[in-house]
Amino acid sequence: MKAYRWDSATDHELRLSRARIIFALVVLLILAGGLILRMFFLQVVQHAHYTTLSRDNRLHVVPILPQRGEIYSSDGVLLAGNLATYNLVVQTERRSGLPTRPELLRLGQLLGADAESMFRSVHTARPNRQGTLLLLEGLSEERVAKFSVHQHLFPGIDVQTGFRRYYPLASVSAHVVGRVGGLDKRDLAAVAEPEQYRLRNRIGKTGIEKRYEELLRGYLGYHSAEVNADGRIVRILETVPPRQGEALVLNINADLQLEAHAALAGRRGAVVAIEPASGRVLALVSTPSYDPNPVTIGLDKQQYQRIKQRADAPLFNRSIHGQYPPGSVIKPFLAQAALAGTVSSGQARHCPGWFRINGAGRRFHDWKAYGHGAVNLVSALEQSCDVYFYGLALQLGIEGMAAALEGFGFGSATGIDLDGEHTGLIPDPQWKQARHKEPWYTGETVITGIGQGYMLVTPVQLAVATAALATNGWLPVPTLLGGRRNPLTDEWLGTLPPPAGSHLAAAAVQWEQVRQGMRRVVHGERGTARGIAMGLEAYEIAGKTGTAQVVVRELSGTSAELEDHSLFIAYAPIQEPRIALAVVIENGGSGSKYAAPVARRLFDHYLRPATARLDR
Amino acid sequence: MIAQGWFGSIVRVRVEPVLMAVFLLFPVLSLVTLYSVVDTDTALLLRHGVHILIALTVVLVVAQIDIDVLKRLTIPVFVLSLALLFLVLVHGDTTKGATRWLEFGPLHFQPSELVKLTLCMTLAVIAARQPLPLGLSQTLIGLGVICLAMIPVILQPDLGTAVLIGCAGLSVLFFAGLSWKILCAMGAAGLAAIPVIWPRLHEHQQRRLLYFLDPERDPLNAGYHVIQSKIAIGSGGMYGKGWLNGTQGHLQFLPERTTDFIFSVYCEEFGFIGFILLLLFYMAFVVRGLMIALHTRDRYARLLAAALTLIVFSYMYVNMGMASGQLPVVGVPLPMMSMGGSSMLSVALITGILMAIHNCEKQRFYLH
Repeated sequence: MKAYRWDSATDHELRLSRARIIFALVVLLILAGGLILRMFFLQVVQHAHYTTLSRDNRLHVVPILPQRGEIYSSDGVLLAGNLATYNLVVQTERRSGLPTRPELLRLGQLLGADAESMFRSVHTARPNRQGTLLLLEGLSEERVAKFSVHQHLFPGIDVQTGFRRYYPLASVSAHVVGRVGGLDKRDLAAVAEPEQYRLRNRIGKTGIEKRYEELLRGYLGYHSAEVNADGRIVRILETVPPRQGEALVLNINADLQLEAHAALAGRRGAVVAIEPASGRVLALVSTPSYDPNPVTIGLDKQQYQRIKQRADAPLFNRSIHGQYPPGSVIKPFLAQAALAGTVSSGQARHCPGWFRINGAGRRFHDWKAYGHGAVNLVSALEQSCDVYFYGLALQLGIEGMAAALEGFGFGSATGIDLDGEHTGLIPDPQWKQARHKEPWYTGETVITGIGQGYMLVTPVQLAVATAALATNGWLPVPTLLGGRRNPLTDEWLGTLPPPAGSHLAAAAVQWEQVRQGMRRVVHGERGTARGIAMGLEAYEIAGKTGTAQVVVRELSGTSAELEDHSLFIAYAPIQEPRIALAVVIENGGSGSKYAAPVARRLFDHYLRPATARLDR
Repeated sequence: MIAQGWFGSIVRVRVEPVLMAVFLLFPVLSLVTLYSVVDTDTALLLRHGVHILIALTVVLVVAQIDIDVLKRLTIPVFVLSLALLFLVLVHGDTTKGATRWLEFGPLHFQPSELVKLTLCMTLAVIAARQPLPLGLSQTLIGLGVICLAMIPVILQPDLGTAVLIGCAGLSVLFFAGLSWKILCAMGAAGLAAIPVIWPRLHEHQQRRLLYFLDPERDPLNAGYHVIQSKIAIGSGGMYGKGWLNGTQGHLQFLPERTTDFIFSVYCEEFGFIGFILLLLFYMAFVVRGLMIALHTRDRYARLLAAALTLIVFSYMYVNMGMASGQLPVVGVPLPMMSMGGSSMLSVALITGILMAIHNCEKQRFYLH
């Protein structure tokens, strides 16, 4: 036999344990007694009451949908609202409770509807989760009124009021506001309060509708009702009204948004405009766009696939998903990095129209075949001299450039309140080794200096980085949501966080030199975008053009060269910047020719009314 | 030697008759009730039957374990179960609500069930280090360990289970002679914390907690369950509607009728008399468990027996209280009755350990 190591228990200990165990036993017996009393009360005293509830009438709880919160622009334009729709439904849960053929014939006569098809649909369809069957969809108000007068003739048939999401600006705001769509299992698994989706069949799928779903959707109300043996509602016992979703006010300026959409009409491209100091997104446009209204109602699969598979990708939000080589618009950021390092702005270089690493090997050409002659940092920006920036790139090195550009927010998400933002790409030797299993070549450093090569940026990143140039280093987090309003009382809800962002440290003098260069791009004699300065007196623009070469690797493996992307970044007015923007036009040709005029048009639109007001 | 030992324990399977009888009776009741609910879905019944057989095997095997071995296993098992809990946290996607399950191939499994047991075992080891009552340092260590077990469950987030784990842990300290002063002070501190924490919660969290306290305010969900459950129970009456004659469970008015609300189905069909019978079986189990605790001289085993018995009672009480509309709706199964392997297994472990304690005590008695 095995020997046990037992703890020796003193008598005092045993007494203590006995007391505690007996105490527990008494408590348990009391609790059990409580249970017995409770069950006696339910099963014996209230037996008759519950028998009635169980046999004849059963309690039914019917949820009531709240209205989804509306979405407004900062200038008070409705971007997403709700249209009332009326459906005729049968509240039932048993086959015997369905309306009879004569009943439907009378109903058909009253409303001028086909009774036979109603009969068929009722007797073949399966009721939804709430036990309601759809009889007629999309009733006009006139027919609703007619039915209401005669409703007593049709017990169990009801008008169900529903709402359909409606986007007044249609394709103009589609990439900001997004859209709602059919609720599926995956959506339900991802929401925090799935019980709030009983009865609902719509959920925010993209854009603001998705990001602020929880604020917009509101809270369900309910009727508790007595239901008879056939499952029809006999009377409503209690009604708790639903709570409407919050109204959201976006920072988007609908006026500017419309103008930007019009300016890009017929082109593939994106515009992002933000207020530099606050990061408020004033306009966010991606073209081509799509009309979310029919999609919301429910397109059939083929129609949707046709939109989805169109070659110009209207569902693709280029402003946050589009990744482009920046071309020369990267130069002001590199210039800033160089000034923060060892380069002085006065230092002149000679541009013969080409550049060689250490004066030997392959020639890297300037866009201007005969060169710019002697250039310093400011005039190199003005004329977009490639040779100057080839040299600068070598001086900074790829790691130096990568660090500086990452400081401006390139290569990481800006944090805009839309889902699925892409990060772009800032290449460095480690990345290339990991991705392509090849070492980094000095030539790749050189072309990175003019925004070519592996580097990719998104329009929203460009706009944010431009804001940092405008504000001497304040890198804001772009935000679309401006405020939340109680839809019933118009009272503002919650306090929005203060403008978020980070500060880039550099001397004011250095920012000023880059500003001078960008001013001369538009206002200088030899500025690449001097064309847009024509007739411009009310304010001054600081900008930078970019023309990015696009090489598309086709399926056959050969490379085909497409028309260049046209880019432009700018802010204005130059002294007190109120708007910073980035324009990208895919395969649009040179930046000065296409993207820059779009910027001028938007600045005029946004700034002129204000200057006019000041004059008065 | 080893072979001999093995052989010996297999031949002489020692059980405790009262606990064994109750543990054999409940599966029968459970199958009978489930049969009434699941209709034609015999696969479900079959799976439940397999769970029952596994559970019985676990009882018989665990009952033969030497308490000394159990004591030595305690800390490693506790650490393992805590690790599993954290694994659930890492494994689970926090955006998708509470994730409480772990999957090992075909096995689904809820580590928080296991933690409840291993926490009690660990606290019993801590408390048994010195003669009772509990000293201050042991109390503090014990409370720390309880928090350690509760935190990952709170983070899941599964507040209901966390509270039950906390209570199970506190019951060990209570049996170990935790002073009344400290108990009262903790209660007071808990109450005092409410006004501090409440305003810091999000609105939807506040709603959640209010529903938790008063489910009838939320008739779309938990409240609906309770209302329907009360109708089922109440309409059962004194003698019940008779087996297979219940309507609430059959017409699918009762949600979760095979798991958390099986009690309502049972009471609808077997009435108040059936309920009294059911309660008597449970109380027989509970009283027997506490008697075993009372008669055990070993400190660790005594504390463990008492605390484990309380766990079974708390399961039963919370489940019945919830179904009869007395307590908030927490997803707690009715021990030995509800479908579901995790709870079946944990009750089997408890029963096995209680028997093991009883067996060892008897052996010790005969030795002296």
